[in-house]
Amino acid sequence: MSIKLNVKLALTLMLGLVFLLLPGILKGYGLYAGENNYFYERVVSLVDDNIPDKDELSYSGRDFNYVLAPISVLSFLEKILSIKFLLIFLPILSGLIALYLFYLLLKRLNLEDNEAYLTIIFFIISPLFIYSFGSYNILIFALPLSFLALILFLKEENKFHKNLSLLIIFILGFFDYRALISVLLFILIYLIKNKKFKEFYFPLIVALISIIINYLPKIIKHGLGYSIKENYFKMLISDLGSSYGISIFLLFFAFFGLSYLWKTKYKNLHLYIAFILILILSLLNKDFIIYLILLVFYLSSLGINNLISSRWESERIRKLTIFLLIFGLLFSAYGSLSLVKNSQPNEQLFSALINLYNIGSKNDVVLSHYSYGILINSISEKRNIIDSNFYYIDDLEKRYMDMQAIFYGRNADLTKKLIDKYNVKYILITKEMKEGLVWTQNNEGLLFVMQNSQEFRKIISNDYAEVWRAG
Amino acid sequence: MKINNKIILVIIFLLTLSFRLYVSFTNSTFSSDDSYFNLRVAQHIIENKSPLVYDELSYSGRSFIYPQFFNYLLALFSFIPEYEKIIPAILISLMVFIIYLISKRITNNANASLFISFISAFIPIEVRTTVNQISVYSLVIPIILLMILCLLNLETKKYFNLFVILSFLLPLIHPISFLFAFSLLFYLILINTESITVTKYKKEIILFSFFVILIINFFLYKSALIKYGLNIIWQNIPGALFNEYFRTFNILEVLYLAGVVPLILGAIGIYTGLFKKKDENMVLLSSFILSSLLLMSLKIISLQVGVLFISLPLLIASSKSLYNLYYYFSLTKFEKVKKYFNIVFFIIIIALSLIPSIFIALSLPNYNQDSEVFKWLKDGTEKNSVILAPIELGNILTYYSGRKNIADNNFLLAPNVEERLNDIRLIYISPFEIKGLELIKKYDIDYIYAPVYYLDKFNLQKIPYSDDEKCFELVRKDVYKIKC
Repeated sequence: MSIKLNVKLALTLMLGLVFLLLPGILKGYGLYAGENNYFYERVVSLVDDNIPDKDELSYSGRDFNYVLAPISVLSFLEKILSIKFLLIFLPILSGLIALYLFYLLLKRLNLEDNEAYLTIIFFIISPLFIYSFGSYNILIFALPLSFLALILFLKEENKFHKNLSLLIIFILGFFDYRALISVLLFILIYLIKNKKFKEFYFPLIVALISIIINYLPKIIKHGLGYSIKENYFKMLISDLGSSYGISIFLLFFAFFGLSYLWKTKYKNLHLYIAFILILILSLLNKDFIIYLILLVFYLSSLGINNLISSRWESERIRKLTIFLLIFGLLFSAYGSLSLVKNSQPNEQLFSALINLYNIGSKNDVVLSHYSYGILINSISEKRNIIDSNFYYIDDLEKRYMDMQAIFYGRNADLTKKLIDKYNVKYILITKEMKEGLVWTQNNEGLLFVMQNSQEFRKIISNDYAEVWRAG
Repeated sequence: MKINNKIILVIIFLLTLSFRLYVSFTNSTFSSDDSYFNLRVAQHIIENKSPLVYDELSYSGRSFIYPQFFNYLLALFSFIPEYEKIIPAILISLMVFIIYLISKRITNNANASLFISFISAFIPIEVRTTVNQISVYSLVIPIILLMILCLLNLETKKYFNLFVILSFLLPLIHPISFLFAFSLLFYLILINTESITVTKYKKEIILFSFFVILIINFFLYKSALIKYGLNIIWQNIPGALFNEYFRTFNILEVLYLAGVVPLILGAIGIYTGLFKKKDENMVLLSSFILSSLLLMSLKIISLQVGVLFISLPLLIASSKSLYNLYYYFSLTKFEKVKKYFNIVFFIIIIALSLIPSIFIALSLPNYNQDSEVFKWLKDGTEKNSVILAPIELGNILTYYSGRKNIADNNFLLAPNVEERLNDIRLIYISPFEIKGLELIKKYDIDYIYAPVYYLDKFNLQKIPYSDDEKCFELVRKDVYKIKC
């Protein structure tokens, strides 16, 4: 039995490894999938022995107030290993560890074997897995640490484990406060269920200290700040284009899972409360969606398990329903893999950015959509006006509004005024921007202005990207 | 007697078909802009053997998503002369058989079922929606009714299989399949709240159907979902037209559109079936009415579609009232007056359903004048010309002229609908030539069609700045060529 279980686990980990290797295989051309690896490669090069005060390229100069722990880890390991190797190897290693820890956690929560494996398989084939472990980012630390903290905390009989768990909770705050809050929430519900609420004070205090150390100074200096509004459902559902959301088909399975749990009515009240609380948190901050989804994986595994094992009056309809949902789920997984394949930068954008690197100086400012900001910094080594690191930027709202005014305004004078305000020297336009990311028509806003004004000159162009020189 | 009923039913079918074909063949154009869209898609399928996914003419070129099963069906029968008039008429006329079978299943009374079947051919709103039109509802209505019939007979294997097949088919025909899916959901909720026992079998098939419809729609509309998110339920209808599409309804209008007989008898049937007898069939019909009302009040479906899907279940429920009446007659001394009652009821149907429907059919819009102009444009303009016409004529324009339009009423995935609508209005009414010419240049417009009846809406006789001969040449009545 034990051998059988290990084989199952090994096969599951193998499946995880295949998915972890896919981003590199799918992207090809030696390109990273997404902006994370480019970002860390650049910022680590800025860190010598000390952390710098400023990043001169992002937002044309901003405080170096990034989450420091992942940068420090990379900077430390870079002394003995090549950074390119680390950027690829660490996420894969972390992904496998996370899968194993997730399995242990589920077993500790007394899930049946089938449910545990299904939950892990749902995790592997979801976009969240590749989003978390497809590149170097805070989640490659936050998720395994969260799982580990919970496993250790749930070992009630062992005090050493409890203390180790508190230490990990403390460390977790250095990587991701959302992971910390989610772990805390889970512990709270677990303790309430087991009528040990008093034990909650220790993790709470440790978490508060960690948060105060890591975030309070930044919040005092910059406030909670402005965030770019994004459609919640688009972020939640991967089939609507979210890079880490959940498949709509998995939601269907989760529906069956909930209806299965509901058979015992309020016996699983703690689970409903956990679900509702994380749902509320995710509504307040979309990044909590990641932790909400982990719970949905569990509900979905319950659902499919229930569907497979339950007796229906019509066997044909039961099989058809399961087939339809699994087919949809696989189709959805395929869709998320093509998202990775099509992730930026593609070969042509990379080529345009390299060409831009060879022009002008490091102080030149490049205007583009914020999703290209980090690539502009890292590949072209030029300044951007805005990028996707939104936290702790004092004038983010103003910058965002100005960008909107530049992109959509057809008044050449006003556009020129705003472009001068940010000392924009180059404008990067991509096919993606023309096809819905910013515009839908070829003669909209800035596109119209650039085509009809002698102030703008196209200097780089290929099938996907073009760079215009302003002034 | 059985043979007689069948003959009567066939006569009703032939009468219905004749009525529809007569109206169609006495009109040289169809009575809706959408008909021309459906016809163009069908013709595209015939010519290219593939669905229309990119339309070069609509919005001067745009991507396009629409389930095209209905258009494929039309294309399949294109070997029949005048197929575009005959096939939709036959499809919708088949409804009389299905209504008969449903009523018969509910009441087990042939007389009541025949009456209801006859009324179904002359529901005013249904006449307005399908007569002399290539309307997808000509197929949707019979399919939904067939699914209801299957639901009532699930214990029979052939109906069970048919329901499974139709569950796949319906979402491939029209997004109104969502209404069906939500009605089923309502049904499950209602039977639970009313504590009515329904077989597990039925619940399972309903759940299955719900998922199938949702999943197929999801795949079909994925790109639109990504673009609009949940706002897709409003189909990207521009704000300026939103209130017109989803206007609120008043009871008199509903009475007129749904028909007095189905409304009154249906309401009685639902009341007695639902509240007095807790009849499962009536719960099913009520769920369709309730979900239509809900979607209508949430402005997710239009008044016309809403009333259409309220009137049909009401009509079926009428059979129950009629049956109750016959049953009452049989228990009392009124048995003898049953024959006279049938005659009086028949006269009432003629007065309140048939005659209003004929009036509606005769007053359906025609596009003779516009089609003549567009035919002329086809011969008299360059192939790549862009022609501006009122949005409600967008599909007719592209069909007859084969030229690009600026906008039509297929809003989903259309580019900048809001902006285009506003620009079109401004081109027609702006007192400033500079503004007008700027917008004309923006869309590369070569010709403007400005019919008097359209300008009348703005109290104009012509486009205010069209006197400038350097830029505008009146090449035909209501048609201006842009010269500058």
